[in-house]
Amino acid sequence: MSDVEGEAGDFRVTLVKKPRYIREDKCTGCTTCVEYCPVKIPDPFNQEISKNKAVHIYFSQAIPLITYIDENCLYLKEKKCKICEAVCKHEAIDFSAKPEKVEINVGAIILSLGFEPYDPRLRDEYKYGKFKNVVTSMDYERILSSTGPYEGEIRRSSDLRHPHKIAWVQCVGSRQVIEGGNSYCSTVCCTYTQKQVILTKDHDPEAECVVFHNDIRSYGKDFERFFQRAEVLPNVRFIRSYVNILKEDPVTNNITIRYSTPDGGVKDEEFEMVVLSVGLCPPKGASLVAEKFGIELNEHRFCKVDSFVPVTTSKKGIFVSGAFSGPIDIPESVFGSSGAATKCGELLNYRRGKLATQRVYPEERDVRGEEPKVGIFVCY
Amino acid sequence: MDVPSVIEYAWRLPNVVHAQGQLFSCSTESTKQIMEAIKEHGLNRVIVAACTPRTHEPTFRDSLKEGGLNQYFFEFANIREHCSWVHSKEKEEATDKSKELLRMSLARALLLEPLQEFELPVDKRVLVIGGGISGMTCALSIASQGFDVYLIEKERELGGLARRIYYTIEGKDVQSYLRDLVKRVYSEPRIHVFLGAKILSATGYVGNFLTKIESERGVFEIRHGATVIATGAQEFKPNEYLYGQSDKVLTGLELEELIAKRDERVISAGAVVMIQCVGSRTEERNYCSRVCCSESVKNALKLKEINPNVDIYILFRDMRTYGFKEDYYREASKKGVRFIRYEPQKKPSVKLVKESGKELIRVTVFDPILEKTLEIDADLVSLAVAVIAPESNKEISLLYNAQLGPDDFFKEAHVKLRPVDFSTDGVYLCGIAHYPKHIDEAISQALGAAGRVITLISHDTVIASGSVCIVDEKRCMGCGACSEICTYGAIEIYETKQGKKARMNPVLCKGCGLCNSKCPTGAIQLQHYRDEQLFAQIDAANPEKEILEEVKKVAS
Ligand SMILES: Cc1cc2nc3c(=O)[nH]c(=O)nc-3n(C[C@H](O)[C@H](O)[C@H](O)COP(=O)(O)OP(=O)(O)OC[C@H]3O[C@@H](n4cnc5c(N)ncnc54)[C@H](O)[C@@H]3O)c2cc1C
Ligand SMILES: Cc1cc2nc3c(=O)[nH]c(=O)nc-3n(C[C@H](O)[C@H](O)[C@H](O)COP(=O)(O)OP(=O)(O)OC[C@H]3O[C@@H](n4cnc5c(N)ncnc54)[C@H](O)[C@@H]3O)c2cc1C
Ligand code: SF4
Ligand code: SF4
Repeated sequence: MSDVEGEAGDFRVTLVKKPRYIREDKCTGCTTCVEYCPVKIPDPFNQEISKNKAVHIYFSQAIPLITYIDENCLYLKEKKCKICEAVCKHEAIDFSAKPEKVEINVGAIILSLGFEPYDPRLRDEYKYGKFKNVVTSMDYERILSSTGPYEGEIRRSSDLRHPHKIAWVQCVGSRQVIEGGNSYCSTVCCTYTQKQVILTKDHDPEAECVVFHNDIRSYGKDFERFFQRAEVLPNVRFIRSYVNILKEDPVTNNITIRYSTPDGGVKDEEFEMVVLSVGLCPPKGASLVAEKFGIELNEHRFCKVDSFVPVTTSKKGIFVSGAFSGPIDIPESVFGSSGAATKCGELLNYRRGKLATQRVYPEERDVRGEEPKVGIFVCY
Repeated sequence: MDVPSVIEYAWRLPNVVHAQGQLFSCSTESTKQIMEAIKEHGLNRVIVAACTPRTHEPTFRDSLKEGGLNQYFFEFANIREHCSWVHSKEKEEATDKSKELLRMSLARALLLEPLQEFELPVDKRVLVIGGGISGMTCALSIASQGFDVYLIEKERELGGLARRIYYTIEGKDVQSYLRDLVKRVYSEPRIHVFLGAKILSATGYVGNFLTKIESERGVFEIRHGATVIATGAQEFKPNEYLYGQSDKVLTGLELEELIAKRDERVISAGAVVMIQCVGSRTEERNYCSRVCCSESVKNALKLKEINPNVDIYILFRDMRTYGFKEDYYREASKKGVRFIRYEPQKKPSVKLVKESGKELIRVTVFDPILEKTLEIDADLVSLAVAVIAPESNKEISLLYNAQLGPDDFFKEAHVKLRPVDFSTDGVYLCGIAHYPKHIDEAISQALGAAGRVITLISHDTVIASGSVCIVDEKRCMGCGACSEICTYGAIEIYETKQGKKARMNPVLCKGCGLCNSKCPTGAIQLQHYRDEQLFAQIDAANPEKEILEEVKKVAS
């Protein structure tokens, strides 16, 4: 979004569409180009754990399901290579593409900029980026995923082995008034950690999972039962303690965590992998967006909303939904979004339906008398 | 599972002219592929082996329509919930089972018939049940978009629970907000308020409900196209911690009222103890009431504002001041409010004592950090009591076919995909009838429900499924077993020359199949799930019978 002008009922927004260097009408998503591209890059969608190519499909559910070329491309950087152009049978590669300006005219705007996961590099004590087998919960989400870096197998990056003893550290970057931390609670991490524990046990019933937490905040609908479901699994321990991520074994790359409990005192325990349950920060560029749209942010740099007028920003005609209004989970994001939509409806009701067109389906084929001809589609 | 081998198997099944794998069948790209395959290969049956029809059937049916086929020629093999998820550790067996499910689907698919859907008119008026903040917010939003709303409230006053809340943790004035909200409701000509209202009966279906109410203004029949349930919740009244026996023991809301009125008991209190999770997170009520931690912190901060020297102790299990509310928890802690954690198996206890002529409540609690039992003498004890679902939810649930969850709060159709809908079409929910939540969250959800209502009533018609029951009059002997069991009132027994017969109102029929299984003569068939279709599917579970060859014969 490069520019916005106008007022409620009549905004003119200028978007700049980055070139994908691929002709959308020609590319079939066959990924031949990806195979031949010589430039390997850390895959941005898989949290840079696995590798991808400079030309690639963003992720397997991307819409449209076609490739784009990112800035690591040799030709874009040094005017060399163009192998993709040579191998593409569909003439879909187009290095002449330029950024495209798109102007749209809208009556209302909903800002759903979401959040940015907390970056634990901001504090040395988390050892993220220093100890090989310390990952963030976002990394771990990808590791658990069947389209993730290890195709759904839980592995650790130091030796690609399956870790069988994993620790989670809660409130990373949340509930702390220290340099580089956020004072608020991120609301989703207690429960997503329980989800990750349950999924880990699904993958590997023998796995030992230990969650080091402060309060367990199972405040949502059915969350208490969900917590109990995770807690009773064999070899799962929830320990209320602050931790110290002490050291990494130079040979095994295992990690030692120090913690203390009222009955056990101070203890050191070794883990094969440590997951940092990172919190939710305001989205990148929130300040810039706020400035352009003329909306206010709160003291945590999320969108400012009044408790009695949720989903509404300080500027008329501009609404907010999802985690940009503060750390919330998917269900709350979804009903808040429906709420933002209805606020747009209130504003623009006088011209409801004016831009709608009837959807026309082709005429139904009469198949009487035809031999059954079946098509089968199997989803991976 | 081994998908390529499932595809290879698909090719071996009779009448299959096309088979392929797709990474995500439901993606826009994949559904386009399906549409194109229909045209290219002249398909007249489509089977997708993927996940659940509950969320994805409409997507694929649409691809059939786009491909020029009647959408009822679509068949779903659920190889996710029914297979890969439940057999995630048995790859080979799961693969085999997928093949079996696919073969069974094929047997049914061959016998599918084209069906037509109905268009039903939509009544544009809306009934909102419950005049709390949620119900009023929802009603205002709908009315401001040009639709009439009947807002019915069982009490003689609007406002609900918020009448007892004076400020939010952020320090906003709830009473003045509420007064303004009620005023806006009464000055909106499209909102028709009924106080002291009781629902006598409710019938109908999406787009066409008929609700009969009795209210201060008399008995009315209301026709409406959509229903919103915003019946709220209640404060739990405990029978422990001397509640009801000593006027020094209060609930959080009762303390809030004393604070708001600057009651002498509050001003002169030297020590206040708040006990969290009273009636929540127990075996009987296995949920967290969400608002009570913040409610106690809020009251504690107010008490400190009135008298900075008051000693406040909050006895908690987990402090659940989630989100930005954490800042107030910290502030309370900074201001000297003492937070003492207790374990559920070592709950605090209270007793009435007399110290130098003064009556006090002595609270005993075991502090697991200090590993010591503490005794606190308090002038006031405030109980953070549970938020509970009203008994009357059960009635409403039956009237509108709106499901309840295990704790008797109303249950949404889908936690993430349809969080303010019921699985019964045309009925929506919001506010603390769904689950305890703060005012801002309740407002946001009420707007969300308004959005969903508008999505329905801004259209002139809704589409009713073609998969409904039909009666074969020749076989019907008019026993009436079907009309008795039908919960939608879709079947009528009427006189003919041949005696009593059942007649189906296809608009009312929801295709649940109850009547069809009750009918002793097999006169009722549920379209799209006809006996021969289901039997063929079941028979195909048994490969030995080479049933497919047989089915093929029938089909041709
Ligand atoms: C590790 C982890 C696990 C989680 N697990 C769960 C879970 O199991 N269940 C659950 O309910 N919740 C979970 N959550 C929370 C969940 O991720 C959020 O509630 C949800 O993603 C919020 O949705 P959103 O659309 O508001 O924001 P986002 O998902 O962040 O989406 C925002 C989108 O806006 C785009 N954007 C940002 N700025 C701009 C701009 N200037 N211009 C254009 N586009 C822009 C972003 O690229 C992004 O695509 C989890 C969170 C984390 C960190
Ligand atoms: C103990 C407690 C403490 C709370 N503390 C706070 C707090 O500190 N801060 C905060 O932000 N929120 C707090 N809340 C939550 C807050 O009260 C609600 O979010 C808010 O009032 C919205 O409620 P509602 O409209 O959904 O339900 P309600 O306020 O309960 O309104 C529901 C209405 O429906 C009516 N009704 C019920 N059944 C029927 C029927 N069959 N027919 C017709 N009418 C019917 C009821 O009489 C009532 O008026 C608290 C809630 C409780 C229970
Ligand atoms: S949700 Fe849980 S882990 Fe996340 S910040 Fe809050 S208390 Fe910590
Ligand atoms: S919000 Fe706090 S007091 Fe209330 S049930 Fe949950 S944990 Fe207990």
